[in-house]
Amino acid sequence: MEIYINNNKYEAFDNETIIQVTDRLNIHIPRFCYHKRLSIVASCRMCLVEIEGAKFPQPACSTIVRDGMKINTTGKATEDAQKSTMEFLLINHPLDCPVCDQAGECELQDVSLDHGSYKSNYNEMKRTVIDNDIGSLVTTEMTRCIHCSRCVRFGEEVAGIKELGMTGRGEDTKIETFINQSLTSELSGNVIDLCPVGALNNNLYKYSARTWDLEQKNSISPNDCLGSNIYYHTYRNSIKRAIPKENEQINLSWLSDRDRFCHEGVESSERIFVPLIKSNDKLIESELESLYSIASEKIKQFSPNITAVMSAQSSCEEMYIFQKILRENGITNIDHRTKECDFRYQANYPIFPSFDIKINDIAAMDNIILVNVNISKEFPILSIYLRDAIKNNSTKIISLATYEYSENFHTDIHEVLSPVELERYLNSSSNNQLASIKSNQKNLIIVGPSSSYLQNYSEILNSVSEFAQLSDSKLALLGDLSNSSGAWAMGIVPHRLPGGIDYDKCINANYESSFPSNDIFIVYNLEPEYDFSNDIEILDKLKKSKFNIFFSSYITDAIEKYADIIFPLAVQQESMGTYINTNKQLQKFKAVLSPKGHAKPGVDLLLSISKELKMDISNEKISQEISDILSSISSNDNYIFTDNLKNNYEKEMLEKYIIRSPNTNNPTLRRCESLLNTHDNDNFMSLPLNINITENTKITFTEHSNKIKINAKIKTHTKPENTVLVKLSGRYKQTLGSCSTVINIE
Amino acid sequence: MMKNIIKFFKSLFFIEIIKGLRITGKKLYKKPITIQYPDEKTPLSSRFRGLHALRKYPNGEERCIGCKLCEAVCPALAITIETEEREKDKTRRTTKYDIDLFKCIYCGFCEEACPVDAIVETSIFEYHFENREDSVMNKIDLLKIGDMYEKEELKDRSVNNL
Repeated sequence: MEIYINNNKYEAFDNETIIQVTDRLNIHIPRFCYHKRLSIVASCRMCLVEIEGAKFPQPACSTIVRDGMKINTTGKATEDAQKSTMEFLLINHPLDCPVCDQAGECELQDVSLDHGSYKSNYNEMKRTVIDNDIGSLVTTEMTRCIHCSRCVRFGEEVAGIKELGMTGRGEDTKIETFINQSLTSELSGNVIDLCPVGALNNNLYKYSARTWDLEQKNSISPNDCLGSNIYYHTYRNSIKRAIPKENEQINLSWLSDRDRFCHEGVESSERIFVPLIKSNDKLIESELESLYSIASEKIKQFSPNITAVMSAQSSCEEMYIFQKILRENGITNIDHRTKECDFRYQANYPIFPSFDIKINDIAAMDNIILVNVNISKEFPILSIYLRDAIKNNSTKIISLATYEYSENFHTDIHEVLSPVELERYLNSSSNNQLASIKSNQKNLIIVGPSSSYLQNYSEILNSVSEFAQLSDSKLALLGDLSNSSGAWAMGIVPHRLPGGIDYDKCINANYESSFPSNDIFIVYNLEPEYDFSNDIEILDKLKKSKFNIFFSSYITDAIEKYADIIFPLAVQQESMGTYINTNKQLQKFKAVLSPKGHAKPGVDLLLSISKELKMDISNEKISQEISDILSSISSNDNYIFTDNLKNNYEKEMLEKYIIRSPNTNNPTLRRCESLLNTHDNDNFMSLPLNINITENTKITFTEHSNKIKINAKIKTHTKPENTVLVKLSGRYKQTLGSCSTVINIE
Repeated sequence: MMKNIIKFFKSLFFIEIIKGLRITGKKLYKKPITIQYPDEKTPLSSRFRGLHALRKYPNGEERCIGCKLCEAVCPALAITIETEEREKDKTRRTTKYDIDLFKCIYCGFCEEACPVDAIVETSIFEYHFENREDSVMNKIDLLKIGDMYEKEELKDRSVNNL
């Protein structure tokens, strides 16, 4: 249809609102309550426009266009309406722009400048509102609130938890949390971007810089395999805050709290800024050049008795050079799956884990089965897509969990099963609630990273694949770190070369024990205490080995104790590289900061070592080779069948497993105190009800002849049976033993 | 030709020197306007822009709220500010307020930009540094000058009707 805006003819679609048309055409209409991803309330009255034939100006955000409609966005009636709306809004808004963090990017400030009047008829007292503490991530200054209700609608419609609400009427209207509660949603940080004024603001950014001083730089999230697009705002070589960069295929206009507040860890006091070398049991400062030659000498001397483990947070370039250096020197024990303990599936695994369908296609699914994945905690951005699917397509969601957790969307079936029960549940799908899933529907099974930490991961994958084949479902495998897909594709697994080519020279094809004991350990951006499936075992191996080479950005007790040399590694925000996300997209990121101290990006460190080893690797070649590798990868379905699995435990055996919080899955996140305080502050050990305990019982486990005592709050649960759950958050100072194992309790 | 002859006679009879000496003779008996600096000083305008100072409120609270408008407006980039939340009362305050006097061009924009009249330029124009790094005035120095010159500042302000 045709409409006229300011006497110019434009094309508009059916059921579009005026503001949608003008936004598309870049015609400016001021607004506060309207947001393109939220419902329309038309409460702020800022977008009033004059429409020919209408008696009064109409709100552009809620008026649907009609054929031949004549709209005037700049006429006198419109301007008068804008001026008086502005005057009413400024009655109670404080004039504290000089101290307000929103100043410079404030919508109210902009609109006041463009459409406001310079004088006010109001002489009475202004309203003041007492601020409540709503957590350590979002600060409030509620006197500034203009009641646009964007934050309230965000909670209801996007985040799925109604955390902020509007109470009172008229002048007493307040935005509040429910009786002294704080924001707990993993998406809560988005209210900061939504708030058009400075009422809800970023606590980490509070009073530390001004918006006009900040530099905006693109980056990719280093925290989960979705690869959300981020803008970092930097000032004097430090990240002041992070905001979402719109990407219709991944994070829309949102960002999870993990991505938004992860930069706190970059400034941690535990950063390593200088190369360190051990001398007389103490780490002393050294020169990078001498470390390069020591490392290359040791590699030459002890090859192939070297075990190398690398974090899947590293970029594809780092991974490619890392495996090239090691493989060309005869080392085959290369892995990134440090949190896993079951590797029997590996030969049949797809070339790299991926979502199989595009994330956007979730909305078209009829049934979605979540296997051991707490979407709203682990992948908050995905929960938005799932909520959309439920809303628009009435998708049925089935959640199969291994411990009790809540989701911010409606789950039709929620089963809590122990790992063994989970396997059986999928196997007997015809006799339980999974029977309702038909193969003529569009089905999706999402297997979360927590499954991979279990000791029967291969069996679970087998059962899931069988069920997927039976019901003709797509299988989505989510990696646990930002570049898990890249790690598989770049050959950071012992049995495959880059591009998923099988590697014949792999000595231990079965790879029963992970990261075998060896003369030398090379640990790349991993912390022995927190990043391994069995912390006791790895610490023991590090102790026994002759030489340990660490690449690390942070120092921990174990690194200090066992490292012989430490290369100061720059964090992701200080280096450039590429990540492969779960959508199979290759995403480039550039350095946002220049590395602090003598820290160097991993690529530089590895290239220098390769030069020392007289290898011919150059930066330009690598990026070409990586893109060649990726283009040669053909994608199959994600089904994983492993033959000859021996299931050797009975139902009565007591199992223990550690719940790993996604908010502590990489070294930088572990040092984000504000984030951990808000989203990850519970330490507990939960016992099944059939174990009798009194309050003073001291609980000791025995597993693999190790005795373990865990100090944490003791809880009980009914489901899953025969399973002890342990969750410790942040940088805990205890050894927890194996991540998933059979135990005896004393 | 004629020009050269006139020039010859002018220089022969010292005409230009006599002209000059006439002015010297006139001034010799008039009262001199020279001011014996530093014993004597010329009067200064109440709007004179000299050394900077940070002012305080009468109750002793510093005025500066760390809005960084002076830093933004400074054409010579002479001002460097760092801010944070003050523990005591959760207000926005500066932790660093440096003015590099070598960079400063004394334009007075910082005074004009300040929403709380914290940064001002006093009438002090005589100062020196013995070390190069002394040219950077920090917050403590500036507040000290503010304390010393508060009375004069108020007087100047009353004259300027501010």
